[in-house]
Amino acid sequence: MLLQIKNLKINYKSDSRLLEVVRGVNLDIDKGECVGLIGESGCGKTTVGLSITKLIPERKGNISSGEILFEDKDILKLNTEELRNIRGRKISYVFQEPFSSLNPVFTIYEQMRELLKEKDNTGSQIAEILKSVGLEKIIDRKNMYPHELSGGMQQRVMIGMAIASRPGLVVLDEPTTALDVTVQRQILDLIMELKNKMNLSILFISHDLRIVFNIADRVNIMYAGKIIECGPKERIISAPSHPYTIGLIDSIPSFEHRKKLFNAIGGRAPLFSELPNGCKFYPRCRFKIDRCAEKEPELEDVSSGHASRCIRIEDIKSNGIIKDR
Amino acid sequence: MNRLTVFGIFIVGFFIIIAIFAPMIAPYNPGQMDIENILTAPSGSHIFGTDSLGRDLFSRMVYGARISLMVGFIAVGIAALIGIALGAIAGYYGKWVDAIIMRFIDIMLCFPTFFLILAVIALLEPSIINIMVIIGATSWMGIARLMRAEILSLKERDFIYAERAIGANDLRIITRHLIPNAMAPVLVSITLGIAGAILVESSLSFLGIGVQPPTPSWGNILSEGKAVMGAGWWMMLFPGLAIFITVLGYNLLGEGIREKLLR
Amino acid sequence: MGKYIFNRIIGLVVLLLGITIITFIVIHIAPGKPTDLEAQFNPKVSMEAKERIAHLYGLDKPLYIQYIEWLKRFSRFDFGVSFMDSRPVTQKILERIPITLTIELVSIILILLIGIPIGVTSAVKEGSSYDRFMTVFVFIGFAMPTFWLSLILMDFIGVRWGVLPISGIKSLEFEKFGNFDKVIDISKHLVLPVLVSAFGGLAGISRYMRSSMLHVLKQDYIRTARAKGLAEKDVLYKHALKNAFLPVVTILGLSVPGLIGGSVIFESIFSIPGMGRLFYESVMARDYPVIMGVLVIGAVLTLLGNLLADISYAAVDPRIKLEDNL
Repeated sequence: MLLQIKNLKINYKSDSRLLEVVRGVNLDIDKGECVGLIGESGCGKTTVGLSITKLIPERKGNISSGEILFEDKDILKLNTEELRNIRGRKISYVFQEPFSSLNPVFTIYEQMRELLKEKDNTGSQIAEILKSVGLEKIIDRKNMYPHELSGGMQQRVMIGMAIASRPGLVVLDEPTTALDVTVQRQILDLIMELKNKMNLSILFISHDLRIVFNIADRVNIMYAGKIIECGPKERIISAPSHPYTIGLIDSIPSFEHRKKLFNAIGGRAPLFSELPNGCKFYPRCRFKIDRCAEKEPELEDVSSGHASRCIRIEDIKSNGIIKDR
Repeated sequence: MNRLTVFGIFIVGFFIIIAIFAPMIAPYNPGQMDIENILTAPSGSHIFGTDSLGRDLFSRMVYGARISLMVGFIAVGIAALIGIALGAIAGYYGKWVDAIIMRFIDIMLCFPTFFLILAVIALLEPSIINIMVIIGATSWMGIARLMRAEILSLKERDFIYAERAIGANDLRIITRHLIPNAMAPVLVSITLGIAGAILVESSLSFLGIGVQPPTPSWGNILSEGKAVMGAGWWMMLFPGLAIFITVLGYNLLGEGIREKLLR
Repeated sequence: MGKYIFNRIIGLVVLLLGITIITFIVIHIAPGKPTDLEAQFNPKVSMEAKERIAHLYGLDKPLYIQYIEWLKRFSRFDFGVSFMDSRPVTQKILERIPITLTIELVSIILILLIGIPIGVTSAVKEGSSYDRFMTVFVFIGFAMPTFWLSLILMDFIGVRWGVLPISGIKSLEFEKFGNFDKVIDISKHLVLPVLVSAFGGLAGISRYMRSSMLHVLKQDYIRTARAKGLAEKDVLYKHALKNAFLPVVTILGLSVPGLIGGSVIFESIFSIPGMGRLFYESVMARDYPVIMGVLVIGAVLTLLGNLLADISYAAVDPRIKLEDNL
């Protein structure tokens, strides 16, 4: 395994108290694998992504327990210097907002240069990177600042910086959400192309199932700080095994499923300050029974490599309320 | 609440009480001279000592609090009236009205305020009323800018459209709905403005162009203290401390309000 | 950037016109004519002087003509002659400006050299005891009346301990000194005024720098810089600092009128023969033409300060150049 996150718990500071926003997450990524992490905004998925290189600002929160094994070493036990050698070199990031993620007062060239390991021939190294992300035309424009690029080009720069040192793992946190639809497609194509060409390992974080299903090999679905279903993409699409996942898939507008649009999940995600007892999803669940409110279910295997956190899943399936597709 | 804010409220309240009850608190008549006791150091009978005319410093300071606070409140009151009115008009009507008012503000901001105040005082006599009006008339620009910015964002809100739909006139919308909702940042500016006005008044009085003796103000007492430097430390210590603590109090209170209202 | 500066200068011309109008209004604010006022406050003014003023301000002509004539003279920086010594106002002011500007410039440099590091380190160590100590210091700085601080420094450093001179800018025996000693002598005289002038601004700039830095440290690009594996010192002092410094440039420009206005107080306390003291003396003597001259020149200096701040801003912020292409 390239990356193993074990029972990760993260607290956020809210006013004067601590809220647990990541409540015991397990997640694996193999070499060359693309793993999706799906959830509504505020479910903790970005926090998980940032925690992989301890990027959560101290003023916001801290990792209270768990292990993050990267190439068999626990990241949480590294000192600052060791951590710095991993950040950007072995694990790199592409964030949601390309415009605000680039420093407005430094040139693109300078921002790329400062992350290169070898300081000689930086010019040709940068040219190489720009070429690989389809930005040949700005290679000679060393005085270019971020605001002179379009959103799509800015994101290409971010991707270029992320792959510059051939990292072991790239964390893509909603890399296309802030972009226009047409540009989204181009950026996704670029990511796919780079993934195949460089055999990248990717953690792809998104709220958008369609995009994740497009790109990921395995998928994790997160709700209220925990993974509620995980498994190979095909299994999740063909046999979703948690009412939340079912709701998410049903709410994808597509031609075959258009009639099911109205099955979208009602209500809204609970606040971390007022999580319900028992299953965190049950107040919004179509299939809830009294027992759901008693105890939060464990993640249990549905089939090999496919697990779900729902006590009723067998019931629901055998009663024929929903069918495998 | 923040400890510093509590401290600020305490200071502000303390001096307001002193100003209101000055006649009861002051042990002597502030103008009463005593040539037997000129420049005596603080003692049991004169806890802050006496000045170069033998007047009781403590009593003069207590009455000085009245002057300082009155100038502070009224000057800022004037500034607030001008600032809120012009800011609201600029923000609400926009276009050329806004352009003219904003240009006017820019021009006013070019003058070193203290120069402008001195120049006007040089022409008029330095009475307390003139001082209050002049300080007010030269310190409203910040309030106007804040007000305008608030109104600009408020006027696009639904409840304003609703008011217009039921036929409310501009004056009503501005005074009943926009200004009250825009007051939070202005309130902070007003509180800090009181501190600023007290500083300006005492600076003027210290320079001899503010409150004129024999009326006691902290600034002109300190000015007398300068004249007897080395012979009467109490003449320099107490009035300076009073100005410093009062200004500190309003600044702390202002910061407290900022944190409470604007976060 | 050329076009940007051009636009700014057009704006300045509008402001300049406004300044002249306000000053003109100030002249006419006094009840009665300035000539009466002059005679009333300054018995030394002769009938001849009175007529000269009436002529200078063209008081017998309609208001708009008065303004236009005043504007004409203003464009030549001709403010008439002083009541006190009949010397041209412009000349009187010009010989006072260098000393005031020197003190202001040294103060600004001092404010930047001390205030910026204090603000940055407080922001980096937000909530630490160092940060809290600096917060208290800042509140003290804001509340401390300049004139009181001057008196305290004068009393202790000047009178009691006799370490530094407290009045004027030269010692009595100045002319006998060698060149080196002359410089030392003037510097000694300027220490206290500069300290006093810088004190209040120091609190302001360090506070402002702190909040600017705190704001920048929350930005996405700082997270990017960390995610890239940059050393913390590069994240803070390269990526964050340059961004955090930008708004401070503007604030510096805006603080010019405050600094110039403050010169009245410390220059009259320390008897520094600068513009502030000239202004104070003119106000005390109701030396009308000088008051107006200083008022206008003070405003013009402020304008120049703002322009300088804007140009520096454009020079450091690459986004401003965008306006060139528009």
